[in-house]
Amino acid sequence: MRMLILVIPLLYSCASIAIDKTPPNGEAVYDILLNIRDIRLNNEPLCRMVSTTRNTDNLTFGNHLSTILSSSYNSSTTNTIKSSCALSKHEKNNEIIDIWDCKLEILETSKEGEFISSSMIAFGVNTKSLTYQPGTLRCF
Amino acid sequence: MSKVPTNIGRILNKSINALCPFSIGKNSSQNHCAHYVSHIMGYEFPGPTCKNFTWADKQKPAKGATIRVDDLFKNSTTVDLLANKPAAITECLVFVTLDSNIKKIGNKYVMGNHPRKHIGILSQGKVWNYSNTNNKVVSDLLATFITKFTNAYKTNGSNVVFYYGKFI
Repeated sequence: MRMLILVIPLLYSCASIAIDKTPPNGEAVYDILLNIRDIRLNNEPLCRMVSTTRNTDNLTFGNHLSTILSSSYNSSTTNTIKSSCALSKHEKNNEIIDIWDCKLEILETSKEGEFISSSMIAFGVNTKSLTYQPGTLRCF
Repeated sequence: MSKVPTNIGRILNKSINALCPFSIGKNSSQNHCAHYVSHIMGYEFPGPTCKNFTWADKQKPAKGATIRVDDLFKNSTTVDLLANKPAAITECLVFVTLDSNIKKIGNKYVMGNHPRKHIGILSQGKVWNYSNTNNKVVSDLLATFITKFTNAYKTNGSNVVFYYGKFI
C-alpha cells in the first residue's frame, strides 16, 4: 500500500509532462504556416531575404512564400510540394522546449525531370499550444 | 596564392554527404550548390547553415557551411558581370540567376529571393559545381556551364545572367 502511494504521484507527474507524439495534421500545419504570412523577414535571422521585384525593404513571409510557390507559374516546369513535421527542440529564454519542427519543400523540375530549383521553409510549432513558435523560421 | 584547396577534385562525382555531416547533407531534393561551395571554401556566414537548421545538428561539434547562394553573393568582396571579369582573375566564384533577380543599389549588386540561382567555383579552367539532378559534384568548362544554365533557367520575359565574385 505504501509503495502504491509513492508510485501513483510519480506516474501522474510523468503523464502530465509527457507530450503527444502524434504530429499535428496537415491542415493544421498549413493553417499555422499561412497564419504567419505577415511576419517581417528582417526580424528572422535565418530567413532574411531581399526581393528585387517588389518595391519594399521589409519583405513579409507571405511575400517570400508567393515568390517560391510561383517559380513554375506559366512555365513548362513542375513544382512538387512535400511537407512533414518531426519532434524536435528549441531554446527559448535559456529554456529547452519541445516543438514540432515542420518543413515545406518545393522542388521545381523540367519536363525531362531535371532539377531546376528548390526551396525549403522550416518552422517550429509549439507542442502545447499548436501555434507557431516565434524565432524558429528558417528559409533555404 | 590560390584560395582554392589543391584537392578540390577529391570529391568529384561524389554526393554532398561526402562533405557534410549534417541532416541537410542527406536531403537529395534540395539545391546544394552554395552548400558545396561553402564546405569547400570554409564559408560559414550569419544566416542559415547546414549546422543551424535543426536542433539535433546544432548539437554536433562539426563546423557548418552557408547554404544559400544569395548569402554568398552578398558576402563576396567584389561582384560584377562575368563578361567584365578581368582576364587576370582565373579563380573566383561564378553565380547564375535571372536578370530579374538582380538589382543594383548604388554600386553594389544585390541578389533576390527567386529560387533559380546557382553557384560554382572557377578554378583550373573549369567551374566546379554541384549537379542537383545527378546529386554529385561535377566540373564543367566555363562555356559548357553557361550553356547548361542558360537552357535550364531561361523563361519568357527573363534573361539568364552570370556574375563573378572574388573569393571572400
